[in-house]
Amino acid sequence: MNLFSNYSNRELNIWGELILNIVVCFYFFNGVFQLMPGSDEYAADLAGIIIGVVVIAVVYSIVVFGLINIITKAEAKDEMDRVIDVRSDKMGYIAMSVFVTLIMCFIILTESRWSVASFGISEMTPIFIAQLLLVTLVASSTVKSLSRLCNYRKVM
Amino acid sequence: MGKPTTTNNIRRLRFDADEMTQADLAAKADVTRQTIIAIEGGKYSPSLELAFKIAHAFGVPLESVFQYQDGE
Repeated sequence: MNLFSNYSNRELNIWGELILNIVVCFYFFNGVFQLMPGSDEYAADLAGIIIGVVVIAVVYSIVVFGLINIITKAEAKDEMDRVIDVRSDKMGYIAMSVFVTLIMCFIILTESRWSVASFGISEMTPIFIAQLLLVTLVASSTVKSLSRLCNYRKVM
Repeated sequence: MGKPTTTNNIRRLRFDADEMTQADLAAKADVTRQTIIAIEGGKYSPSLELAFKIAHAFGVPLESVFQYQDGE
């Protein structure tokens, strides 16, 4: 109970988002990297993983966010929340820019200088690039959540 | 030359106003209690509008609540 008295509804919701991000990421990428690209079952297996992700996200959201809003009182956003959101969005944007730039450098270098095989990758397919971009989205979202948590702790 | 700072008397003003709680002040200023905690601790500088709302909640002029020190 001490946890809930030390953290505001907003902070608990951010923790909830962060944990959901990690759980979904682990489930999705653990499943996707075990699939064999180009196989007949690839699309069906990928669809199964995506449905699994949606089910986990919906159930988790109902249970965890529901509990947080029952245990702690939900409050409307005020100016400090908006300032923290802007700072965190900025951090998330910087992280996304850095990750996308790194992916672009990786693609250009593997096309022009090194073989993708030297990185343990069989082929640079559009699906593989899409997954790299998905990792980028999740990573930048995680950076944003962590930045929000740090900013809230800093002003408390 | 030091960094300019803003100080406040919110803690004393709350005490003078019959031990007004941070939650009461937050409700009067239409913000969360966390924002009042941050302002009172000098960790967040409020907007001009919120500063006026806080002063209005205590019924005192703005400069009685917030003071600016330019660090010289």
